[in-house]
Amino acid sequence: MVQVTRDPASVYAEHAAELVRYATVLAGPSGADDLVADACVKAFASTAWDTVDNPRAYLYRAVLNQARQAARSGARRLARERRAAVTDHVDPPSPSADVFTALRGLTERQRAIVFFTYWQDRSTAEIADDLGLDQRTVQRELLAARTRLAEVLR
Amino acid sequence: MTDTSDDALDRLVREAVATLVHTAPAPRPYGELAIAPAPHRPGRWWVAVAAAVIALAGVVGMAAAIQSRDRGSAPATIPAATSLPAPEATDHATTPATASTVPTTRPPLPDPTGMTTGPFPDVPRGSIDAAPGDLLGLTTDGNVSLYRDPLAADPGEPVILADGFLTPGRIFVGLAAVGPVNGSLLTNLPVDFETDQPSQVTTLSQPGAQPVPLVNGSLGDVSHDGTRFLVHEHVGVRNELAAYDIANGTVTRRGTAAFPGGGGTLLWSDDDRELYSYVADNGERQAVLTRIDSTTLEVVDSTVVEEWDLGHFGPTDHPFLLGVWDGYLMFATGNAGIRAYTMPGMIPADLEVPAWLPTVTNVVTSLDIAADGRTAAWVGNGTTYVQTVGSEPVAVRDNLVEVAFVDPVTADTPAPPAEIPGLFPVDSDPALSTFTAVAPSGSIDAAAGDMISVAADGDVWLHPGAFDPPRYGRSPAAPIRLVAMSDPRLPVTEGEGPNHVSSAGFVNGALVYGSCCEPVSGSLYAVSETDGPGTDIAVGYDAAADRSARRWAMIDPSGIRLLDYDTGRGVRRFVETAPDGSFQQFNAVTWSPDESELWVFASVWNDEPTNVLIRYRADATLTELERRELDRGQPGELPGIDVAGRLADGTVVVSQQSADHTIALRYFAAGANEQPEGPAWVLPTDATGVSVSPDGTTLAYAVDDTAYLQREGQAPVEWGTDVTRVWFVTTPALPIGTDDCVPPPSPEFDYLTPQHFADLDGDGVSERLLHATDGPLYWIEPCGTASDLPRIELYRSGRDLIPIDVEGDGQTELWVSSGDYNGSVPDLPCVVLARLDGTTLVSYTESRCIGDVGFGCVGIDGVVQPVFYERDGLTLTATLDDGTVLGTHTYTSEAEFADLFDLAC
Repeated sequence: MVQVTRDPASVYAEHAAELVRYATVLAGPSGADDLVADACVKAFASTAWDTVDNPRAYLYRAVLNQARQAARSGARRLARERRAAVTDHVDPPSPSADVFTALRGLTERQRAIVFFTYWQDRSTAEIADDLGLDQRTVQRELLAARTRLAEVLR
Repeated sequence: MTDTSDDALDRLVREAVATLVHTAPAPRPYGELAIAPAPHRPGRWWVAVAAAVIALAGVVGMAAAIQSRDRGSAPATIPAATSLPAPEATDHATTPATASTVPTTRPPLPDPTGMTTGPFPDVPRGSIDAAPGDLLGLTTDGNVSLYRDPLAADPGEPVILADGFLTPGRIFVGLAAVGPVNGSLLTNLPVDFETDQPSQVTTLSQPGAQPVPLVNGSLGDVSHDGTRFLVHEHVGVRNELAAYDIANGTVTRRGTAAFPGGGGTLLWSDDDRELYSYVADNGERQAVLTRIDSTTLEVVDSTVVEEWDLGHFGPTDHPFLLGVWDGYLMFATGNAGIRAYTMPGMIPADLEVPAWLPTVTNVVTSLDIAADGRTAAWVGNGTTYVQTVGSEPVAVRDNLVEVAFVDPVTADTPAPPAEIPGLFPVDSDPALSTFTAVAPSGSIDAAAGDMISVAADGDVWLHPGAFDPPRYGRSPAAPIRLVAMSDPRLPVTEGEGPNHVSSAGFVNGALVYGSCCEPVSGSLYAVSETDGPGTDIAVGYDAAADRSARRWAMIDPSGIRLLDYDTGRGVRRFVETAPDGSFQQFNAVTWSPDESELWVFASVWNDEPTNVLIRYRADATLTELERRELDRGQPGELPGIDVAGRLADGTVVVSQQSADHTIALRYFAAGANEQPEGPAWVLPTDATGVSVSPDGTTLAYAVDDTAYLQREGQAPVEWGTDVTRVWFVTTPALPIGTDDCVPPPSPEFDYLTPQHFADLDGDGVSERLLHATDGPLYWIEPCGTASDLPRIELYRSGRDLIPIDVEGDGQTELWVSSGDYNGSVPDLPCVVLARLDGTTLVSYTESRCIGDVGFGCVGIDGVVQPVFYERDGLTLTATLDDGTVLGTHTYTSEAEFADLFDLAC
């Protein structure tokens, strides 16, 4: 029987770096660390944390949802982006506008699938399991994402 | 030459993602998260709130730290968690605290199996005409007959309902009769030891028909209001109890060991809220009163009310309750005869001996007391008698062996609803997906006769009564800013960049507008109030409403969607490319003249680019009916195409701008047939953003940031300056009034968007609902004319407010979709609904997680209603919140479930 580690500090230490990369693809580099911190705070404080079967997948979903929530707060996001435009110029390399434009054309879910597919090389089945989606949904979303990315990147 | 292969695209995407990932900042140290999760958190609401408060403190702390970092100032003070208000504890117990009249001497008995609720199986329907007080009798030759009004002077001939009811192998255990339920009588089918068939509740649907088994078990009593009846069944050592709700078509079951001594007869309390079981405890010679909640079938308590005199009963006899006669509980036992007790204390009563009391000379083989407790029928010495309280018995028949009164039923089970379109979405076409479409609501008073403009600085304005006031009856008034947009004239250095509003219309007082076309696809938003924040509706850049403004068509770069706010359903067709694989771009969408089709004007890019008109069926299939080529030209020469509007007869007007910027109008009538000539409009060659008035008489357009109106055959008239686009409002006037209020300043709290408007108190004036949050605390606060309505605190995180007029009575109910992180997926999959009806928060439903169950909004008879989907294997059962079963559907494979539950309202 696999022992599931739910100690927040251990789980955070194991996954935080990759979660921030994930958040960067979802919402951009500015604030990605805050986004992950917010998501983890909520996840660790959740009454469900003690019973979560797959803490890693749970955290990825939490980050995805936190990104969605942040995206809904358009004004706050805009303010944050403006703040970041002043303070984050020290982080090379800066992604090209095309990359930003391309990924911002995707939904958060599509960005998540793109991240898992192209950065973590995970299979459709694994992505579906991680995000709690049907495999066909993953395939469909990936198709839509590629179509949109093609418009910008090619 | 550009490499357009999939490999090349994958390489580009991989490089793009890698580039972005490498800009990721370092994660914040764990210590900065400022949380100290407890190792064990019992699942109590207040613990969850406390945990959330702790989390809030952490978030606030981080936010303060971030702010202080940005401002370079000292850290802000973190508010103490204990200073936050806590919600009142909500008692969701369904049993009222009125049971104290009977002292509890032992704790509630355990409930081994729990409660389930499902549809009333095989709802009986028939044509039997029976009334309370009619007698059901089993004749000596095995027939079941109905004897109407047995004490009448001329009772008439009995009606044979079923013959051959008894067989040599069947041991009859007592007749019972409920009904008629939907024209069918319910009764017991005897135990058949030859076939090992247990007792069953059966339906008798018409004279002469064979009884049809309904469910295993024995038929019990009917509630006083005549809407529910009981069935209980021995299952091993347990008694499973089921309460059939005739009115709602549901059955609630609970397997329980709460009925020692075999369960006995359950009586309904006077208010039908509880069931009383008066039995003798297992051989202890005690009279035990067990109270059961009639909704949950859960034991409330079990109390010894009397130590019985052993002389009443034999050593192995368990008394059983015959019923209530003249207000007294009547117990029977084989040795001690029949005893009367007062209710509910079970004090032995000195009751005048009824004639049906067995004696040495009067051997009673069957007895039933009518539901009113005033009439009994029995079979003694082969003769059937009927007696009312205070009267002498009357012999009515001599050929019956069993009798039972027809217990009154006051409700019918509603007929299964006709097929509800979209109730069970079918995902047979991988290019189709379905979703919930709930109309936004707002307080913007707009109607035909008003106009919308986009200013040069990007803002969107409403101009009340700006077009033909005498015709439309709208009084001209000062323009109102609806949306503040970024100024498109300013340089963009980063971020999404300013969009421009590309389409606009109204539904339910909310502005729906499309923002074109950044990022990439653009977005469609709804705005509930003037200058209010917008909320996403969909990806896309063009939206078109039908004449009722209840159906909307929307397009985005890779698909078309149809939202039907009357049915609450939406469908999207993913359209990747043209049929020949060429890239195609949707430019604009509109409705056909008869509104049975959606017409999309698109450009197809291949060796010889073309403009095409694609006709889609405006239903749940979005079937492509035809694509008709309109223009052909080389890249850069293909004229741009946009929909200007529709004439009074529905003819679609299209504006087309050529490569030399000259503009022309084209007209498409029914069948997408292009008309050679249209109204006599001669436009300036550099006009942009052409729009047609709802009566088809006038055009609006802009030239160099100046807007003009032009009537057919007349010269243009300047309408305004610093305007880049003008639309006519074509949607109907609001059916609601509004009484706005200014939300109180809230430096401590956040108001969630979108804000909604709903007439909660039914006075014809909609109230603004403030959905507010302070970290883990959420509440709803009406203001406006309903400022006296209570503040509704949500003990779980609120997500969405959905004003829905469920009953269609003009009074809006409020559904609160709420969820926490209880589920394995901390997002929409878990929803909790609360219903605010008038001023009362009616109910919280249990938290349900999408996956095993789902939730959506479905239009039923024109009213959008929240629907729960319970899944059992491949079968879905759709129910309303009150338990009404709408139907079931069995899918053929697991794959069909894909995306079905992406339906949250």
